[in-house]
Amino acid sequence: MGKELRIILLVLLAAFIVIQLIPANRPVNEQGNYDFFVENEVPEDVEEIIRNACYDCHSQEVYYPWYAYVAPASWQVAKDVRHGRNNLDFSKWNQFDKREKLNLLDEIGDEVGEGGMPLTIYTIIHPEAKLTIAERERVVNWSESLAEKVFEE
Amino acid sequence: MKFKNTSRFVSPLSVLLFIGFTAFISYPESQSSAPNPGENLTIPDDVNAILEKSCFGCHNVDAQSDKAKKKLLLDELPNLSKAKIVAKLDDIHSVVEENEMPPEKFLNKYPDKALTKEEASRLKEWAKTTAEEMMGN
Repeated sequence: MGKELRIILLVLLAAFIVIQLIPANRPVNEQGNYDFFVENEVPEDVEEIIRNACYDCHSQEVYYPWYAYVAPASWQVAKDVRHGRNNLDFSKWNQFDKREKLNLLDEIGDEVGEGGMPLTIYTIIHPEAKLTIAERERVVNWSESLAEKVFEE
Repeated sequence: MKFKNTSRFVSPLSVLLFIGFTAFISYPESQSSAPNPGENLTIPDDVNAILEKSCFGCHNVDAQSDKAKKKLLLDELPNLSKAKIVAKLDDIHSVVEENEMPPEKFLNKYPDKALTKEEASRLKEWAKTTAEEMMGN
């Protein structure tokens, strides 16, 4: 191995060790009694899709895998969870008013229907979150039927 | 034999009639226009004119942009469920308010499609009041 290459690798290793000291500030999971799936009578197949494809960013039941503790991946995970919860947090669904729920359900239908969600970076690492066309359609139809239920409440 | 001969020579009159007929049946499609009154929503004429000028080009079933079509199809808006219409109206309000629509790129190419201040506020007012009426507020 050339001397220059060895120096480069050592610098990279040192940088990797140093960045581990920068905290990722992973959002914590708040404990709550609200169960989105039970309260909204979500069918089991839809629940499975949402748990597999959405809950790691859009809930208070985020599962942090090993790489969520290793920088720089940990920074990205923390950012995605913060951003995801900010847009939609299924665990706090009961805190939204009727109008917000309708807008969120419309957004869910659009994002999942057009393939914007789940993010590609997530499905590469979590193949079980990759949705088939049929699963996307299932979520779109479910979001529409729940929206109608919410509207009639 | 007789049949073959007549089919080979088509009279100019029948050609004209054929062209006229094709033009007649294809006319409504090429002239697709902004939404008609639907089950759940009737769009006032002045709002229709604004939508047709600045939005309909991308948000109609025959448009090229899949992204725009998936987000909103104005020709189908009146026939959506009320729950969906409210969300779409809120979306319209928000993108006009935030100056996100029509997109800048599109306006660089078609500056005449830009919303005037009056048009933008009429559109927002319509979207807001209609959504509130539907919600029963």
